[in-house]
Amino acid sequence: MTLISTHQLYTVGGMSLFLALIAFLAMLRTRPMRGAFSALLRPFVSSWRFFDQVTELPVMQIREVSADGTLGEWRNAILAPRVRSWNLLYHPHGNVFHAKQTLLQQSFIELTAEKRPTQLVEETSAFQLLRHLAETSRSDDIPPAAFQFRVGYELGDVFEDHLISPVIQ
Amino acid sequence: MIGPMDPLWWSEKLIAVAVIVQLSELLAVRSVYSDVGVWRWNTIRQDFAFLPQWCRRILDGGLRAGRFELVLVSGLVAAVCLLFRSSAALLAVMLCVSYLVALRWRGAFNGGSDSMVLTVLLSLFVARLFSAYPTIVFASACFVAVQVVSSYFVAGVVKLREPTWRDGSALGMILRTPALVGARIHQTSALQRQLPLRGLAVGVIGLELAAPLILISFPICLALVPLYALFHLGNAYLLGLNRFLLAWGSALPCVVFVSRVLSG
Repeated sequence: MTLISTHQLYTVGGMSLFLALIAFLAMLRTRPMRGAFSALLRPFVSSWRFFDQVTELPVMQIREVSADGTLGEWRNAILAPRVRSWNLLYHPHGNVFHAKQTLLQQSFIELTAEKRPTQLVEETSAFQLLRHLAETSRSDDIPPAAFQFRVGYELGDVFEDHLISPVIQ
Repeated sequence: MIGPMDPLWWSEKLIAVAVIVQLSELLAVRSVYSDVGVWRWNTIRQDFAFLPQWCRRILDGGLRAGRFELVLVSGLVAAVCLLFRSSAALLAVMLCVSYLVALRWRGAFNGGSDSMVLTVLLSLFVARLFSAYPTIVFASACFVAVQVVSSYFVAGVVKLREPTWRDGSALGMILRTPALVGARIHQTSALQRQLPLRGLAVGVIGLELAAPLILISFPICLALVPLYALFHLGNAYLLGLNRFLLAWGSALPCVVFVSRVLSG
């Protein structure tokens, strides 16, 4: 009588090899998928590196610019929705909130990864999506006016901006 | 034989519920992907400029505002039908719709949960298409099980190498970051002052690293699977990650099935 069957030996052996491989891959520092075809493959490929590096997250702020050029106060563009008990299973606005945060982080990484002339930056889909994000977060109470947005980090009371848009009419 | 005694039957019904919830959520927030919303198709379609024109026409036809809602409804109808009848065709419709939804959001609407839903749908579709071949059915379930185990194990490995995770400070930071916890910020900020963060963080890392054991021993699998379900429930409550609860919830029956077979 043996302590471990051949079947179990193969299972444990195969499993050990598999774990060693994915542990090795997990240790490698990888960069987010970029390039033309990445948009098609990305849905099927996840790195599973949930919360691997917990650092400060970029924040978007917007301000209104009145017709006479007066600049309003900067305020956060992405606001968290209220949470109710049924949101444990069904949370449409909560998921839009998370999707906006992801859009902000991804676009911020895309736009700051390489130095590009301002005009080229403004033509990218990443910049335009950030612009839509800022545009749709403006208050309905204020009559349509020009606005400006910035993305950066909130460090205590100081805002360190890394990306600031021109005044958008 | 397809029925409640078959673990893949449970995966199928649970993924149907996950897809119903996900598509209903998207139909409830139509304004964000309308022509005046955040995710305007006219902007996102620029990412697909490299595709041949016929491909772009198909995407334009299905993903522009007005048409996209029809795509969502077709996926919703297929998911509701799947609750009552197992079918490879219904799974194929749900798979295509879920993939189009991910493309509409430049890869994923809700990160890893979209990938897990696609993994489960793809595997169940193959399993149902070749249901007469037990080896293919088992291989499909194995694919889901490997993805689930990898998802926990990789997450555990990357946390283990981070000093801020080992001392609990990363967990504390998550609980007080408004961008991650949303409206629960007051509760989670209070929690991070009261909870033994280091112990909790070590517990999370340990639970994630223990994932491979579920494929080696069936009794361990039966002990750990409820813990993973609780873990996702906690994440859904504190971080608002309800989609992860549903996606991983639908994958776990496949893991139980594979564990039972591998344990002999």
